[in-house]
Amino acid sequence: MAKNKQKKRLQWMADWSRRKKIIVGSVVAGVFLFVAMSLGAYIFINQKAHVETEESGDNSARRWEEYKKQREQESAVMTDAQEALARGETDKVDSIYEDAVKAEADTVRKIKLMIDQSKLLYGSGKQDEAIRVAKSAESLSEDKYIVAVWLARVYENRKEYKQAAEYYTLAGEWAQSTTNVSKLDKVYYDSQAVRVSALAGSHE
Amino acid sequence: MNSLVAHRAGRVLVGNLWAVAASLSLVFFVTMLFMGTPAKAQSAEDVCRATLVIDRSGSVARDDLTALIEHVEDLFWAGGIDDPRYQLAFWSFSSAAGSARSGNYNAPYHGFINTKGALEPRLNGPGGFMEKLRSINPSGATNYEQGLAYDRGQQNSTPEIRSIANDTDVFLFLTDGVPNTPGNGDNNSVARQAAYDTAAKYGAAKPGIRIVGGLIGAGLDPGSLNYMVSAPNVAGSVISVAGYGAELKNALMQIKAKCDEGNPPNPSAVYGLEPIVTTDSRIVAGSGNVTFNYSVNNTSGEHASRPSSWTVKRLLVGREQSVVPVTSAFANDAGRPYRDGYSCERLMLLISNNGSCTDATDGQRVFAPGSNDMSFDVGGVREAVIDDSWEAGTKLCYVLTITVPTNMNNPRDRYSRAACTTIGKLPSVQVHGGDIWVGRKMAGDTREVEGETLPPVNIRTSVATKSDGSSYGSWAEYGVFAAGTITGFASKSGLADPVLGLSDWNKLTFANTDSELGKYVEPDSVQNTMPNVATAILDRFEDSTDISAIEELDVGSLSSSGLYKKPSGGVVLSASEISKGRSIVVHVPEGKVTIVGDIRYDNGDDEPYTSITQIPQLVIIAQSIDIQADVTQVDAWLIANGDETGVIRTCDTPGPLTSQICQRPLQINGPVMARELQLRRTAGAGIGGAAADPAEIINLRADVYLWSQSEGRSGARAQTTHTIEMPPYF
Repeated sequence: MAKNKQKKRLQWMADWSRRKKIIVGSVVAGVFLFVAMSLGAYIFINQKAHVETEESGDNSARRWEEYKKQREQESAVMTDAQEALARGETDKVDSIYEDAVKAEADTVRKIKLMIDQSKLLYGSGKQDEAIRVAKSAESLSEDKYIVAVWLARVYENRKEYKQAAEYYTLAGEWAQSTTNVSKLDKVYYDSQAVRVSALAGSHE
Repeated sequence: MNSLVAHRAGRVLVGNLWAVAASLSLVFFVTMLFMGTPAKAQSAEDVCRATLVIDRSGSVARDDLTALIEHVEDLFWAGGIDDPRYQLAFWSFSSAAGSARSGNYNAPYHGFINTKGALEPRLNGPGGFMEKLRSINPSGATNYEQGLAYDRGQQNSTPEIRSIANDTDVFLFLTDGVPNTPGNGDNNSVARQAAYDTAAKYGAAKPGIRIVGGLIGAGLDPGSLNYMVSAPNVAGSVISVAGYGAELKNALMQIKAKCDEGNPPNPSAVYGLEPIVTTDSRIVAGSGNVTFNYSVNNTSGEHASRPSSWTVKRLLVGREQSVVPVTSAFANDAGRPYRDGYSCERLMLLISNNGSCTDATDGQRVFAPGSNDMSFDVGGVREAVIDDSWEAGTKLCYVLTITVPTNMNNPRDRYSRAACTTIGKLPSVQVHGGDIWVGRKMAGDTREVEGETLPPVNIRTSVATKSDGSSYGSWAEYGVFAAGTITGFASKSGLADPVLGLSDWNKLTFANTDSELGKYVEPDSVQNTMPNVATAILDRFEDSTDISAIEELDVGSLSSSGLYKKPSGGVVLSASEISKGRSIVVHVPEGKVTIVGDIRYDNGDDEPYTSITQIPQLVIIAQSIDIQADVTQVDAWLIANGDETGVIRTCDTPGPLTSQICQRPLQINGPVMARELQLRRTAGAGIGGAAADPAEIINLRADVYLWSQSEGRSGARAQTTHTIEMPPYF
C-alpha cells in the first residue's frame, strides 16, 4: 500500500514536472508570441504612421512652397502698383492690374490680383472704386471666400455694417474653401457677422 | 526640443499608445521668457513702433506659419491697423548656438514700416516686409532670451536688430513653446531667468515699455512667460492664444490697443487742417457751370498730416432760405471759418431743414504743410453744373469736411464754411430799333459848369453761358457807345442768337479801350452832350396847363394835346390809353413822375390812322421817373434830366432784388434819356426756351420818328408874291 502510494507520488511528480515544463513553455511561448506580435504591430503601425507623416510633411512643404511662390508673384505686381501710386500715377495702378489679370489664366489668382488692386484703391482713398473692383472679382468664381472676406472688412471700415455682416456671413459659408489659409473658420466669421450686425443696430 | 516632432507625434497618437506616450513626453510648447532690453525713451515722432517677435522653432507647422503670415498681412489693410501712426517690424527666433550674439540668428529682419499698406512700398517690394516674413524657416528649440535679441546676457550686435530693439515701444512676443534653452529641460530656471533679466534690461532703458506675451496653444504653462513680463519697469501682460486662427488674429490686433495705452501724441508733430471752399460765382443761371475751389491748409510749418479722410458735402438750400448761417456766420469761437463736431444734420438745422445735404465725393490724402490744393482730389465736383430744373433762388453750396483734422483723435468732423452760389437769373435788357449811348452828359449838366470831369462810363452786363455753350445776355439792335469799356453787352443784335460767338457780339460796338479797334474818342467822357430834346420839345409850346393841383393824372383822360406842367412836386401817372391824335407832354421839372399803370397808345387796331398827325405820343420830362413793379408797358418818351437826380428806375420796389421781386417784364416804346438808368426788372432769363427772354425792352419804334417829323414840320412857308423875268445878259 505504502509502496503504491510512493509510486503514485513519483508518477505525479514526474507528470507535474512534465506539466510544469509544458506550462512554463507555453507561457514563455505566449509571452514571446505576444511580444513578437506587439512588436510587429508597433513596427507596422509606426511605419504606417511614419509614411503618413512623411506624406503630410511633403504635402505641407509643397503647399508652403506654392504659397510662397504665388505670393511673391502677387507682391511683384503690387510693388509696381505701389510705386506708381507713390509717383501719383493713380491711373497706372489700374493698368498694371488690368494687364496682370489679363495675363493670368488661373481664376483664383485673378481674384487675388483684383483684390490686391482693390486694397490699393481703398488705401489711396478711392473707396467706391475699390468696392467696384472687388465686386467685379466676385463674379469670377463660385468660391466667394477671398472676395467676401475683403468686402466685409471694407464695409465695416465704412461703417456700412449691414453689408459687412452679409459678407462676413458669406465668408463663413465659404470658410472651407481651399483658398482659406488663415485657419479662420465659420464660427469666427459668423461671430463677426453678429458683431457688426449689432453695430448696425446701434447706428440705426 | 523639436516641436515639429511633437506635432507629428500628435497625429500618430490616434492609433498608437506607444506613440501617445512618446508624444506626451515630448509635449512642450510655449511660455515666454522675461527679459529686459536697453532701449531709448518714447519715440520722437507721433508714432508707435511695435515689434512682432515670432517663434520659428521647429514646433511651428508650415500651415500655422501660413496663417500667421496672412494675419500679419491683414494688419496693413482695411480692417487691420491700416494707419501709418503705427509702425511694425518683426524678427523671428528659435535657439541658435554659436552666432547668437553677432549673427543673423533672428533672421529675417529689417526696419519698421508703417501699417498703411497702400502707402508703404517696402511692404511688398524685393526684400520687403512680406518677403522676409515668408522666408521664415522653422527649426531649432526655444530660447526666450534670444527672442528678445540677447544671448547669454549680451545684446545682439547686428545693427538692424539693435535699431529695432531700441526703437520698439511694444513687443508682441508670440511663441508656441516654453523656454528650454539655455539650461536643460522645459521651463528650466536658467532659461526662465535669462528671459526675465533681458526683459528687465528693456524696462530699465525704456521704463513702461509694453511687452505682451502670446502663448499659442492649449494647455501650456504660461509660468515662464508671466515671469518674463513681470520684469521691473515693464508694462507686461500675457494673453492666451488657443490657435493660429481667430485667436492669433485677435492677439495681433492687441498691437494697436497696446500702442494706444501709452503713446500720447508728441507736440512736435502737431498739425491742424483747415478745410476751405470758395467760389467766385455768386449767381449762376440754370444749366450754367460754377467753379468751386477746394483746399486744405495745414497749419503746421513742417509736419505733413496723417492720411486724412475728407468729404465734400453738397447743400441745396431752398429759395426763401438764407445761407448766411452756413456761410459768413459759420465760424468757430476763434473766428476761424470752420466748425468741429459737425454733421449734415447740424447743417440742416442751420438752414431750418429747408434743403438737403448729401455727400458729393470723398477720399483720403496726406496734407503737406501749408496750403494744399484739392482740385484733382475732388474731380468733377469742382465744376458744378446747375440743374436747369432748380428753381431760381435756390442756393447750391459745397462744404469740405475732414474727419480727423489734427494729430489728435479729437476734434473730429471739421466742416468748412459753405461756399454758395445762387441759382437764378441774369436778367437782360434789349434795345430795339436804336442805339445805346452811355457816358454823354445831359445838356446843362451842372457838373460841367463846375468844371468837373466825368469819369469814363462803362457798360457791363452779365452773360449767361449754358452747359451747351449757348450764351444769353443784353444787346442793342444797332450801335453801342460808351466813353469807357463795354463788357458783355452786344451790338448789332449779337446776342439775339445764343449760338453766335464772341466775335459777333461787337460789330457795332464803340468803346474807349486801350489799343483796341473801336476806340473813337478821348476817354475823358467830354465827348459831347446828349441832344437837348427836352428843350426842343418844351420850346414848341408857348403855353402850358398847370397841373399843380393834381397828384394822380390819367393822361388818357386829358381832353387835348399840349404841355401839362407841374412846377413843383411830383405826379403819379395812372394806367391810361392815349387816343389817336393826342400829343401830350408832361413836364415835372422839380419832381418825380411815378408811373403806376400801363400807358398805351391807341395803335389804330380798331380804326386805322388816316394821317401822320393821328399818331399819339406822350413825352414825360421830369427830375426823375419811377415805374412801379406791376407796370408792363409804357408808351412814352422818358426823359429824366434833373440836375439833382435824373434817374429812371424801371421798378421802384426798394431793397435787394430777387426772382420774385420786380419779376414782370417791361417794355418801353419810346426814347429813353437819363443821367442814370436803373434797370431793375428781374423777368426773363428763364429755363429752356425762355433763357433769352429779357427783363426790359426799350423799343424805339418808327412812330417816334414819324411823330417827330410831324411835330417838327412848320406850318409857315414862303409864298411867291411877285416874279419878274430879267433879260439875258451877254
